[in-house]
Amino acid sequence: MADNKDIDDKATELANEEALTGVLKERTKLLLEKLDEGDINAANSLIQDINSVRDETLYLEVGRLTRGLHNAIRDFHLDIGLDGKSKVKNEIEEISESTSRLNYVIELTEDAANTTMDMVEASLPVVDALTANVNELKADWEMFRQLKSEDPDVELMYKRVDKMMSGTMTDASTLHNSLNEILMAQGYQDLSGQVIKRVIALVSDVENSLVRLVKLASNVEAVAGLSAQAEAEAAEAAEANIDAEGPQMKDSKNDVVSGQDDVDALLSSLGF
Amino acid sequence: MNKNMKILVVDDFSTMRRIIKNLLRDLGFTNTAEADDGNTALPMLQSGDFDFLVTDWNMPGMTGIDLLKAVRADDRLKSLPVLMVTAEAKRDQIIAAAQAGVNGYVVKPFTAAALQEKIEKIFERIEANG
Repeated sequence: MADNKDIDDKATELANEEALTGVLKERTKLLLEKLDEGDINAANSLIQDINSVRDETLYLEVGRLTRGLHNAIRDFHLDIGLDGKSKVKNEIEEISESTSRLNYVIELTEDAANTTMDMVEASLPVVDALTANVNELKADWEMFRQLKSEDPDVELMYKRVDKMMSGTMTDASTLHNSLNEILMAQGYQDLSGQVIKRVIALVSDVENSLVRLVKLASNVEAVAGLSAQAEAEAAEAAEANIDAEGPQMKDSKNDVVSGQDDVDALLSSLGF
Repeated sequence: MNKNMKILVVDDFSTMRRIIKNLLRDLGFTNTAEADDGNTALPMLQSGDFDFLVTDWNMPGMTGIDLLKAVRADDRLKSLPVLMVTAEAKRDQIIAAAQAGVNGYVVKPFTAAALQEKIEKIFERIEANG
């Protein structure tokens, strides 16, 4: 079906081109005749004719391309099926819109981040209890240790328990820090989510613009007024306030600070 | 620094609210509340006796920068310390936040140490200015 459509489009394109060439040849001949006759007014109106014929062809072409793009995006929505585990696939099949798919990614990462944080939050008190228990025992142990023993085995045991206690304290503190790092690392969900939300907004913007373009292109008169409208919109956008832009990519624009140090430098230059 | 101070954490992503709350708890601050954007946060700030506001910038509804401006424009809230924790990293944005009266600015992704340092700095400065 897509192939037929392509052939149809090609045929339309050729027919348009032939028609354009025909009209241009005819008008140009007439133009030369009028110029020879010295009829400047008629020549001018012929030049305008030629221009408007060219414009109309251009609008038709833009309209055709736009419809093609719009269909491609619609087909993309319908075609994409993911090869995955059957359970996931069933869920995916219910999602026909690309924006829903992206929202689904946000949900999945949010669930994963929450599961990780549940585990971290459950583990932190265990580690802290371990530290507290050792600390509590340590005071008593210091006293007990004052009872010197002649038996070398008992002395050896004292040393082993000492070592175990201080080792446990160090390990527990390492574990506590690692758990906090795991917690911090879940921030990826917020950052990737913000980027995905932006892509979702972009996809629907592009689609809406395409639909508008299709409508406009179908009406040459309307398109003639388009440039003024687009300029007005661009000016409006430029006027807009400082907006949130979301996380910056590594290779993004050069007015972006490169990290917390830059933020601090900038703020201190402002008297902070 | 008063470890019992009441802190409001504002972010539209629950993941980030949870991370910040956990970090604050690790630093000894347990008296925290959450809001998911400026529109929910502002009435909470106006009716509750919060001592510190930690807010994201990019949120649906009311953004963090607008929340900051609303706080500074409110007679009872205008001296509330505000820390912005955000992915917004353009110079213009940081300058805009500074001009709106932010007390500290941390860019995501951030470290626990960075958060701690900024919080300590904010309250050192407030205590020094008495």
